[in-house]
Amino acid sequence: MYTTSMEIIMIALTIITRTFTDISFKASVHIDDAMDMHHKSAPIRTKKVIKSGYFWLGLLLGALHVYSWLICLKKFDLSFMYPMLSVSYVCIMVTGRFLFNETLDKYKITGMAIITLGSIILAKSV
Amino acid sequence: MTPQNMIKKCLLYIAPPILLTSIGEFILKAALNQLTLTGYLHLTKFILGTPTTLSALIMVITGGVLWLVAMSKFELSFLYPFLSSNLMIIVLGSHFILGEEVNFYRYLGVILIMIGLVIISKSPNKSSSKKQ
Repeated sequence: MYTTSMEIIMIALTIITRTFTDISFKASVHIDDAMDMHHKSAPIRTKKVIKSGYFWLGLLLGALHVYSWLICLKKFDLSFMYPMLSVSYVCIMVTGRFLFNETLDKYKITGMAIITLGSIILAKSV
Repeated sequence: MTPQNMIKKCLLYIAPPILLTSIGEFILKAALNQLTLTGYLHLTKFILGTPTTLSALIMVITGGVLWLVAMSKFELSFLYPFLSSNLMIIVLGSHFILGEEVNFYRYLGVILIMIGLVIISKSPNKSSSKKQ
């Protein structure tokens, strides 16, 4: 199948929106962590999360992700698109390292490298 | 946790998201295959306006939310292998149910991604700043 640059942009958009949906939701509870809310009750914590702009940004990006996912699913096989989304795990871990100071150890880096290799081979299958 | 309790918990928390996401995606893709696309607006109208595709979309989204619920109940190292099995279920289903041509490269790529996910699940650094 011939892949146009527009289609590559759509795949990238799907992966990026997926990544930043998860990052936004993480940011919305990360604020909760930073304010040391663990001892507070669940309803108070939920209210704080909903009040944070990140939660709503996450919902918006999630909706955008679903839309671009459907466009990609129309053009490509499900057996190609679904595994391709695993690239977002790599993006999420790299972003998490810089935004939330999460640790990248040898297991994560090895796993990320193998997932990247897998998706490159997957891209050859179209 | 006793083995029986474990099986019960798995059936309760892990089977539903796997079933919902895979069945939902199969229905969505099957419906999209039938559609001759004329525009993006048409696509939105079709997905949201047809009961089958709308419920399939809701299934996929609910499945995603249930994954998050499962993540709050189990260790990630326990969940990641299930997450990667979901990949294989989708690929096998695409091949045998939807009749997609899944070639050697595609299987190889998916198997590598699954191995990568399992290696990530072995990482000792899983908790966020919460426990540190």
